[in-house]
Amino acid sequence: MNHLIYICDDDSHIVRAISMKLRKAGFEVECFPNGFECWEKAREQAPHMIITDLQMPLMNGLELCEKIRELETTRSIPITLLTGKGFEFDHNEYMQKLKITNVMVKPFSPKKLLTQVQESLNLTNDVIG
Amino acid sequence: MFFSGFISTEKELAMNFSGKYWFLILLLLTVSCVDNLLVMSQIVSPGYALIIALTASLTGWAWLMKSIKNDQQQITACLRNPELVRPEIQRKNFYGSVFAEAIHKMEESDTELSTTNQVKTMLKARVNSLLKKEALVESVLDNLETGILIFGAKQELEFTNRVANSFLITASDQDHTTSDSSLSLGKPAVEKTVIPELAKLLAKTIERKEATLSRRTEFEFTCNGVTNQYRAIATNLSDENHGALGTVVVVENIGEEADEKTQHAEFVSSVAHELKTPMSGIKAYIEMLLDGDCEPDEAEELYGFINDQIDRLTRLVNSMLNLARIESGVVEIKRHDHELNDILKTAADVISPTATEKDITFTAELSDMYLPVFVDKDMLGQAIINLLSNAVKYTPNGREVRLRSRMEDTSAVIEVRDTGMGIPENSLPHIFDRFYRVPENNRSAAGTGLGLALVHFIVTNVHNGSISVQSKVDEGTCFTVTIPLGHKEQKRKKQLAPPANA
Repeated sequence: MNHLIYICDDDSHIVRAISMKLRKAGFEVECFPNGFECWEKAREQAPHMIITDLQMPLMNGLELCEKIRELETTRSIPITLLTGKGFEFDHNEYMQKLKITNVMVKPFSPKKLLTQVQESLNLTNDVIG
Repeated sequence: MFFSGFISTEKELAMNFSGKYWFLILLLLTVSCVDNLLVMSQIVSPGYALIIALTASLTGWAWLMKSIKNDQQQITACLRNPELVRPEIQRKNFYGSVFAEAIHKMEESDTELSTTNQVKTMLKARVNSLLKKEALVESVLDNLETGILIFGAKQELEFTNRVANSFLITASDQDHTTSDSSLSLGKPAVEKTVIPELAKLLAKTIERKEATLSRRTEFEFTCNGVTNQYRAIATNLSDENHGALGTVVVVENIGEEADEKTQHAEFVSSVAHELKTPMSGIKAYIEMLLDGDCEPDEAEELYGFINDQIDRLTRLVNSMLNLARIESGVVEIKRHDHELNDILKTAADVISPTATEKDITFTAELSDMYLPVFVDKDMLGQAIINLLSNAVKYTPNGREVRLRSRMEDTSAVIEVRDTGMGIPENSLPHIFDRFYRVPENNRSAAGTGLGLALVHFIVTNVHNGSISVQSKVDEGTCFTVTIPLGHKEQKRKKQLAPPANA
């Protein structure tokens, strides 16, 4: 079974780039333009992992993380947070409080993101093959 | 009012003084009458009567001279030692010592003033002019936006202006009210104390006066339910002989300054975010291309995306530069005769692909009439594009946006109406402010908070037009722009034409 990953960003190009990269690596990917839609879907079907932007309309990345951590079925899934913010954003605080697995600062490398996704899901390249 | 005691003492003396004159005159009259009676009734001889009259008037005169001298000494004593007569001035008032000094100096220098009347008039004039000056200084201080608190050498509160009154705490055990007096000058210091923040600053400033004359502190303070940021600067005051006079504390409200700083920081942060988003897309695509992740047709698509993203970056940078340049007056304004609908059509063409992308019905209902305007085509076009792109941005998919133009009296009216999320009433007064973003709609679309600021500037400052907004939350927003009608260049050309032909 392929791993299911939800990608959440209001910028269509970032979503497109990440999903291309992950699909090619053999993941099943679903994309959402804001946190709210992603959360609605996550309640129905819990993904194996969520990659989300920080600043989004309707529901931002942090709010999404909070909701995800409240829900029993999604409590322990890895989350990667993408952010355009630099030092004005306290990474450690949020990583501890919301148990965010990774924070990637934009502009980021899709290759590194893929590696982190694989690490978070305890996969090696061989397994995905 | 603090010197009324002084005046009354003075009046008493004066009353005594003129009373003595009248008494003497009456005495002399009585003596001469009695004298006459005595002579008429032939009780005494005229020689004796003359002696009696002379003795009486001489005695009266001597008594008067003596009492005048006495009075003079009394007044001089009062002047020499003002504290004896008016202890309340020293205790109550910061300017008290100034008064005493002035009076003393005047008395010393004006030695030729021999009569108490002259001294009295001088003093009155002096006191009046000083009073006027004091009232002036006090009203100036009261009308300052900054709070001023003056402390005496013993750290007792001497004076507060109107603004600074909010930094005082009334001591609870004092039941005595001084609301009848608008002058805070005369209030005894025991009654009120300053808030702890200022008391601490004051104590430190006085303690460390050897090192620095002044100290500053910033603190937050809530007054009438409004919390503000304040900066207080305390300075030790000294006279020319380096004797300590006291301390003055100047308190400034730096709320606006702090707001500006936060706004600027937010602006920079949002600009950074806006720049980083297209950059992330470009970086991701390029990395994938470099790694050979894509098929040739995919690669082609990615190149197209990269191109688009770079255009987007360029637009963003340009709009920021535009605002900066237009607002600072660097850009030359090129107003020429144009037809308004032409400009509107061009703007509509720019925006309609974005609207189509969002499945928004975009209609341009332009006036059938020829609308002559004298405008900078590019700038006005940019303003209309900003309004339209906002309308599209804040309108949910599937709804509609309308652009209209019409003639109204002497102006051309442009209307941009959307059926979007609307602007809450409390945000309406601020939407044309630079960097302002409607908090409720902030998250629904990206923006720098510069678009409407630029529109406002272009319409009102560049084109002498006006812009207004009506909005209802969840129903939509309508921006109405009016631009004065009429061509200006043709008129000028016609005026110039005859001499050219002649």
